[in-house]
Amino acid sequence: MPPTRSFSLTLWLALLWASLLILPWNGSDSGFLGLSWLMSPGWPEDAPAIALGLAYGKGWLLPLALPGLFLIAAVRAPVGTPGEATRIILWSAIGLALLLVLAMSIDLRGWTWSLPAQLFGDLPRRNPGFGVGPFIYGLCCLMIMCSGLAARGVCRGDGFATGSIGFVAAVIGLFVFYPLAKLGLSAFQTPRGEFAIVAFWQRLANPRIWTADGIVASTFALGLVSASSSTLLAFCFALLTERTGLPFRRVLRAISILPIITPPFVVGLAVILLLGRNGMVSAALSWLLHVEPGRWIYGFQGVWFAQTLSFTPIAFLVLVGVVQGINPSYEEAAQTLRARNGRVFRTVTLPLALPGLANAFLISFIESLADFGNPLLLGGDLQVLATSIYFAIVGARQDRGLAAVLGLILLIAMLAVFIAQRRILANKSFTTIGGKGQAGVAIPLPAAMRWLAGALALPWALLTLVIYGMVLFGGFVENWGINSAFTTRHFQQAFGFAFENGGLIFTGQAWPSLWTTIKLAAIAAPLTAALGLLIAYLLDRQRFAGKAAFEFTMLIAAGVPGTVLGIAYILAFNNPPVELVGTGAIVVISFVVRNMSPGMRAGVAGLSQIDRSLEEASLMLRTGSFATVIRIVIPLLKPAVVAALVYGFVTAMTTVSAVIFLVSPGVMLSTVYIVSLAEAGTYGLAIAYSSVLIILMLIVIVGIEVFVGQRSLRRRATVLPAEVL
Amino acid sequence: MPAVSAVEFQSVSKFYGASLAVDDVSFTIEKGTLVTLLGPSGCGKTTTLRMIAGLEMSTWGKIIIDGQDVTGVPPTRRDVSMVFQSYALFPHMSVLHNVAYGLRSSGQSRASAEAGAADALGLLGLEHLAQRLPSELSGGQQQRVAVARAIVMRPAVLLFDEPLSNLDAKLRRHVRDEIRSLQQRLNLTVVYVTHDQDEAFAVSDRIIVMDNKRIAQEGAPVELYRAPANRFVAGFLGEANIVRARLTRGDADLGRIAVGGSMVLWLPHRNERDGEVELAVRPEAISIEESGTPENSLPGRIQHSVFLGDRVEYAIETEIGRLFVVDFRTERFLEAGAEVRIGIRQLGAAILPDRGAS
Ligand SMILES: Nc1ncnc2c1ncn2[C@@H]1O[C@H](COP(=O)(O)OP(=O)(O)OP(=O)(O)O)[C@@H](O)[C@H]1O
Ligand SMILES: [Mg+2]
Repeated sequence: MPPTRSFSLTLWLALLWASLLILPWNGSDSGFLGLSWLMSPGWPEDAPAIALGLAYGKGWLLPLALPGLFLIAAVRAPVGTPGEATRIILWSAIGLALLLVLAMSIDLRGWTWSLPAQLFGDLPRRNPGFGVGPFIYGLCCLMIMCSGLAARGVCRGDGFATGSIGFVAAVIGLFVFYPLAKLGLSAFQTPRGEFAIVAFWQRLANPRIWTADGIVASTFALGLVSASSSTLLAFCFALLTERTGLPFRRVLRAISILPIITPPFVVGLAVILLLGRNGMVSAALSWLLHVEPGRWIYGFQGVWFAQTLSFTPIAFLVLVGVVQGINPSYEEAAQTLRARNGRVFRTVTLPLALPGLANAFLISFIESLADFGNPLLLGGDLQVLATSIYFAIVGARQDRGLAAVLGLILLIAMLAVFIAQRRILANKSFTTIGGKGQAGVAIPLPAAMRWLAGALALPWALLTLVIYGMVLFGGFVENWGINSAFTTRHFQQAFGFAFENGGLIFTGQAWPSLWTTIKLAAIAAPLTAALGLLIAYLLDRQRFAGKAAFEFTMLIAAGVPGTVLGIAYILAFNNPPVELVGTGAIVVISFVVRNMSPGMRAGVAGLSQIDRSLEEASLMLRTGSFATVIRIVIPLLKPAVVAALVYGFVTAMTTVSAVIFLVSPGVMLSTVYIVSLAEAGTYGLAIAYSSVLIILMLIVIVGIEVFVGQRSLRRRATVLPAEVL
Repeated sequence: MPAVSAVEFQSVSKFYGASLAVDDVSFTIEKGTLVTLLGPSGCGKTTTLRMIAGLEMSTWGKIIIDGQDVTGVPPTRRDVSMVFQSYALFPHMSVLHNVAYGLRSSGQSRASAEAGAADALGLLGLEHLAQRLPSELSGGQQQRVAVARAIVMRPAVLLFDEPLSNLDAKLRRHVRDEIRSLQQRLNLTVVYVTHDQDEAFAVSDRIIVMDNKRIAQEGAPVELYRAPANRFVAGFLGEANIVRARLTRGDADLGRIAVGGSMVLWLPHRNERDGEVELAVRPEAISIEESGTPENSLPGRIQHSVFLGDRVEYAIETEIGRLFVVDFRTERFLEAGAEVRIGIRQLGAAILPDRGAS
């Protein structure tokens, strides 16, 4: 078999030249991915790099062609020429380096250092950012470099694996770590752009941050109480469903999808409708007790209440697994050693569940730190990190430096909790994974525990029911607390449509944001799924140097709080070289980066069901990695692919924290729109829109589950041929 | 020009991270032979096989297949096929598509790939199953499909990793004979991994015995059994009593070996120097006499005896230690405590030259 030059290398090289000769080098106002340059190219705005360099006096772009020329020479050399792979790596690395230098040399105001200014003269005061060209150029250099590395034996010579690692690293680097670095730098920059440690210290010393009722203290206090109450309630509920005969199991599935389909602020909204000044309960109380209904729900206690309601289902999902995973044989062993039920629970069950409880606590704590919607709606005077960042950016006193410092604090707090969580999971898991199929009968809950759990959990369940009832039907009430007449007015106002001149016209004011959200979420979903699954594939199936670091980096990237990512994007992508703020592209990117972890998890779970030797068999049958992924892995991974797609879509539709920074009048999203309605006190409209959103998401999830559920089950039965024997 | 061998390893080592899995292994495999890699669990057989396949890359050393240095070449560009322990049939493809898969990937048209696949299925008597899914086959059928999928590529080397481990005992014997006859019929070069010595004896032209990441001994089955190189090989291929004796070299090949006080054997001296040596004595090569004092025998006392139907096993205490003996003369059964004399048949005893090894 004569060795052949890989076809993909040639393809990347051709694309590299296209990025220099055809694609517009500079971004246009029609948006980063706008296609206007295709329809009606107007030079010099849409000119490619070479044309700009030759005809428009931008000679500094011409060296970019040099790596392209040398790469052609390297690729044309016969395969196996000594040093050939090294030359490919070298020249593509030079191309990348040139691009980076170029990116760092020009900002909005002109050259950032003096040498090019002397060589090429001054630039105009307003410079455009990168267009499609530079991104493709960089991507091609990267991919060519990776294929060179593969030829040197990296990843067992697997070009697809090296390319994927390079691609994922570049995406995460550019869209997570570069913005975070910008965030870090901004904390040290004076408003005029100079660096000053003093500026950082001054911001950090801001009394609002550190006093006993300051931002940090409130954030952590809120996190502690919300996480404690959610964990406690969830544990009670988990014990009730798993260890008593109460018919709760059916409810279990329903509850498990609540946190996914509910936009994070909706519970807060419902709490206002229930307990706010015009709330139902408030009205009843004031009538009963003859007191003036007050604003007592706004503030720490209100946010705590709403967060407990929001996070209990999340903690419950963790703890159900934990309680199920406690092997009953330990409890039986304790019983045979003459321990009574109460003692077994105290000395065996509870200690075994402890790591799981800690995990649920930390997960709820992280949720509380990152929660943006509830403090925004219910916070009143309460200042937590997530909302303070927002107000530092959008408020009257715009202070990006302060926002950056607050963002850093939130990020560091998050990382600390995150690392603590990993420690706990790594060292101290006594429960088995899988949970089912263990012989033995779990002890019934001791009577006292049963009463306690019931007394706590049942009212909570009722409350949750009421809250969701409010969300679903609240939109039909004329005016909360003032006029409880039934009406469809809010729905008409939001989703009205009419037939005019034989055509359908969407007159409701919610339509534009809904269409935009659906469109962007639909674009983001396949990208999110692809990125998540690709990372899962790399983590589960490939071995490479630095894999542990790669995995940790991915987990951190997926865990950056939305608020932090939002502010980081504003700081990083508002100016050249990468100018994206205000476009749909940046919203899509934030969706993809923020929501890739469900895809990762589904991918890892799916891959662990597929025998690795299937892929090896395909490789042995002369099928390369990429073709193997397409023809073997993806068909077998179909359930995970579907799950990743659905979750990618639904989470994009319901997220608010990052995108609230990134929307613009032209790109308005449902969740942000609802928040602004609620902030303006237009609760009827807000709740009507929320209920439509929730129902829509419910339909998507249940519909997909019904549609593909059975098939995915049948597929799973045939995945492991060895087991069929 | 000498004929090129099918596979050659030159001082190949493999590290997984910091842990050594294969340590400085060299061997050659001739074309048209079936060579078995035999050894206990974890000794590095699968790793060695996967390095031939290209699924693992060697850390050091050189791998040559069919005259070409393939040390850094990925599996897709090696002329090698493999039958996996789990068969690894693609569950979402019919049998025919499974077998045609490799031909399609090598650029053949659909028609010619399917024709080739049908031929290969015919060779294994599987034509009638072509349209089934793998989950609709029995274990033995799946195994044959896996073989068909591998040989359809007409590889220079065909690899088997414990192909019988998922089959029940009866089927095992049948399938292993089938693999052997297919290999001889098509003159294939096969590398076969197993940890079962019966299986290795039954199918192999040569056996490479591995122990603890290294090659312990290499040779034809009879050679290995009759003249094991060390305690490990003696004990792994069948059972062996290890006995101390004194060697005095006689002629060019044979040495005079004094065992205990009253027994002398003449065995190949295997270049051992005069003095203390270790002998491996097969349990079935020890004969038991109940009465008299025959020439060249040692006294012993039965300590323990077990009747096993087709044979009787004894533990006998003698001046050269406690011996494990298998006696196929089942018409007599000696109870514990009986005084006997034992003799050793020359063919079942050998000097162990390689005393350093485990
Ligand atoms: N992917 C891997 N990563 C790390 N160590 C490995 C890996 N695969 C094998 N090893 C180690 O290398 C050594 C040799 O393994 P190998 O699979 O070759 O053994 P084997 O002889 O095939 O054993 P068995 O008969 O049990 O299949 C073992 O100690 C094993 O733990
Ligand atoms: Mg093995």
